[in-house]
Amino acid sequence: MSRFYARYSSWAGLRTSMGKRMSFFITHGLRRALRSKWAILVLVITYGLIVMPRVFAAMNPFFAFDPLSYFSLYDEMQLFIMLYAAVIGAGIIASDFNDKSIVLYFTKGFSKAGYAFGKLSVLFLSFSLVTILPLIVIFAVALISSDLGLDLIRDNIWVLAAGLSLGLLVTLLLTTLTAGLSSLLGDVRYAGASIFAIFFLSRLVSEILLSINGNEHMKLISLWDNLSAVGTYLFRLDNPYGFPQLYPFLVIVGIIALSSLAVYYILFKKELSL
Amino acid sequence: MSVVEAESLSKWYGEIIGLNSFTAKMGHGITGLVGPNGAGKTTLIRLLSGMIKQGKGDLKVLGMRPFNNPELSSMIGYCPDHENLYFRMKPLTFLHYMARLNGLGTEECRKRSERCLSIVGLSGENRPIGTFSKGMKQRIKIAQALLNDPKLLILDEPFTGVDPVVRANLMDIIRDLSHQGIDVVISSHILYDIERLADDVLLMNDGKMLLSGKIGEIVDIVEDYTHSIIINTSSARTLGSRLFEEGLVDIVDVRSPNELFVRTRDPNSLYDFLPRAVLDEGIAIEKLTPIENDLQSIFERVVGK
Amino acid sequence: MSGGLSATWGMMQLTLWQMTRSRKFLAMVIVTCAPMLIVVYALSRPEMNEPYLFFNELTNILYIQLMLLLVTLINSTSLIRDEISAKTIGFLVTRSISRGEVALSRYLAHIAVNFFLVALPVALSYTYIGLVEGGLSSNLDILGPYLLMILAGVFAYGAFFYLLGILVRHPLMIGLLFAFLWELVLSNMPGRIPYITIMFYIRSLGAEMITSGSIARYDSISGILALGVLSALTLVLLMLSRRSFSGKDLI
Repeated sequence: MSRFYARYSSWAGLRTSMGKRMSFFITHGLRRALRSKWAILVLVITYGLIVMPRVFAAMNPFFAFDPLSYFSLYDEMQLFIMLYAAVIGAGIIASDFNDKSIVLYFTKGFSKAGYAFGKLSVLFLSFSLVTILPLIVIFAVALISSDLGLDLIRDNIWVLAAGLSLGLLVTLLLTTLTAGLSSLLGDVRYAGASIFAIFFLSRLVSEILLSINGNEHMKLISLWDNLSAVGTYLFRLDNPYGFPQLYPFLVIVGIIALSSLAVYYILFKKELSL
Repeated sequence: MSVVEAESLSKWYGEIIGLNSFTAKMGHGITGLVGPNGAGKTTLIRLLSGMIKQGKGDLKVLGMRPFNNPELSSMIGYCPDHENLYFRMKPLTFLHYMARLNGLGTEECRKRSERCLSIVGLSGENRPIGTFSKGMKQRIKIAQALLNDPKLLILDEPFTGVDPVVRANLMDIIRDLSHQGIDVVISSHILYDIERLADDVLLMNDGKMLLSGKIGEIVDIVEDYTHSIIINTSSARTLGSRLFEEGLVDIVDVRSPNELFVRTRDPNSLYDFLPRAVLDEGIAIEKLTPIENDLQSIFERVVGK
Repeated sequence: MSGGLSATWGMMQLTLWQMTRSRKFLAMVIVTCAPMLIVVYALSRPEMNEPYLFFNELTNILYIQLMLLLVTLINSTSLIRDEISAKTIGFLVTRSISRGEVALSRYLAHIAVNFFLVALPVALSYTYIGLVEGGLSSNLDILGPYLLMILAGVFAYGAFFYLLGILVRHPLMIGLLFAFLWELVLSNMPGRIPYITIMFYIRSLGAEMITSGSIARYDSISGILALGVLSALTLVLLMLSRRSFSGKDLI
């Protein structure tokens, strides 16, 4: 045997700390996710079609710090954010189940909590590229294009804070929802289609119910309307919904909690029968 | 007429070559394809079964081209190397559907499915295939290949990962089928498996044929080859000492309480003894993994000659 | 000798078994039928004056524009692709049935399942409205065209996604882009842009026969022409699927 293979000997070198391993796990996952040609395509389309025109618009002082302009960015990006979530998120846990590689993580000193944290971090960071980064870029360009006075920054920094808060909420929702669907369904195709189905179906159902009974609360069924409603609050816009903006916020928090519970159940409570 | 005739057959997977100007004739009886991983055995099997289309060269199976040829498919039985089956189906349902695809009527399907299940010793099994052990899955794969009363049975690595009792049992089944006039092409990376079964053997490496002939001639060439096996067992130390006492092994290395490495020049007796050790002495043997490096050394010797 | 009709029929039965004996099928039945609760709720409201107009809108928006796409995307892409991924395809193509027959029989069998999944809740909703509000037989001129649209849709979208599943290893992304970007967005654009979507021709079928609701207000071409285009498209896509599968190396 030794003619062909090196003999095994126990590793005498240093072993990396758990923190370093986790950081490798996340950066490796991130690299893998972002190398997908579909992810790149969606990023290129999103930035090319939506973010870049906004960047140019931000050079115009009239639009530079207009809250409505920042708020509507999310509405325009809606479809692409969902596409991106389906590409990056659908397989995040499902493919580990499908190719039965999930046990390998747990035999490499990773705890289930560590695995879940790592996967959620990969999703969070990936999604930030379409939910948070565009806003920062646009705001930065707006600042650079203006006279960069301290007063200007002080007066408008709340727009950035509002955008970041909304971006954070969208990212958290997408992260937990896609991870929940991916682990619950265990099938990339079903998980990907479900991400779309949930957003589209919830909006259609809410519109149909609204047309039946005229009750504005029906909009609470629509995921995207909930995000929009919270957005109007954060960007200090008029509330076009017939209910306090706290309700949609609570709905979103509830979905985040439910989705996290699904991930917890699948990873921690369900037996990994491969 | 030869069962299989291949002339300068080549198959490329993109830039990787699977089969390289392969020329061979396979006659009646059991023909063994032996070679290490990556030798091109599975590529050849896939070509024979019509799963993939050939690149250059010519290939005839039972006088016909195999790719997308249902007429030929109705005469061959193909047993793939992987374990994937329709796991939610029960064995009889699975065989019934497979028989339907062979164009048999409902009643005939039922009869043949039951007969094939009984041939492989799985009559009465009525749970989903997903719950089956590796050995049972191998048997159900062989059963589905027998549904159409094939003239030629193509078996890709049928002994991979099975315990010694199942291995011996599968060999008996294959031998019996051959005695009934079914020609068999069987691949393995273990020369010893083929030695016990085949009439003719074909040694392959790097997509090419190295040597072919009657099994006796091949074994004579490499007569002093040793055979190394890793045995996963409940009691490595006990089994090791028993094998040594019986004079069946030259080298015994207890690598862990559950893993034993042995080297033998008389694998026949060793393989005969192992099922007895399981049945008579209660030593559980979970897995046998023959080491293919022996085969590598044989190839080196063959190429050297 | 080829297995002939018996083998083709066997392949269709196997496909039906695979598609219907799973938890995923059950989940899809629940998802497609769940909106029926909206119908029950709507009929319980005193302001519901025109139940068949409501049925008309619900079917158009929810079933034609969303469920039809979702169901065909999921089921049709997986029909051959899942067999290849699971390596069970070897059991199907080494039998007395040609690859072309495998491709066609699996496609035809899956049409029945897709049609069932989308048409069942539509028919049940209609029946419920008929039983509660009356007019079960007098409004068949709404139900009939919608069932025809669903049938034409499962054939055409089924053929497209089927081909996608054969050609592409991971068909989800292209499928989602096609369904939600190409079909939904472009079909609602002004001018002649909708002509390049399948949805336009499906809607045209309905617009020809249904005189009320938003479906009647879409720009459309004649129903016969739309049916011709959809049939031709389905046939071409199916021929391409058959050809592609027949020449494919199945590793």
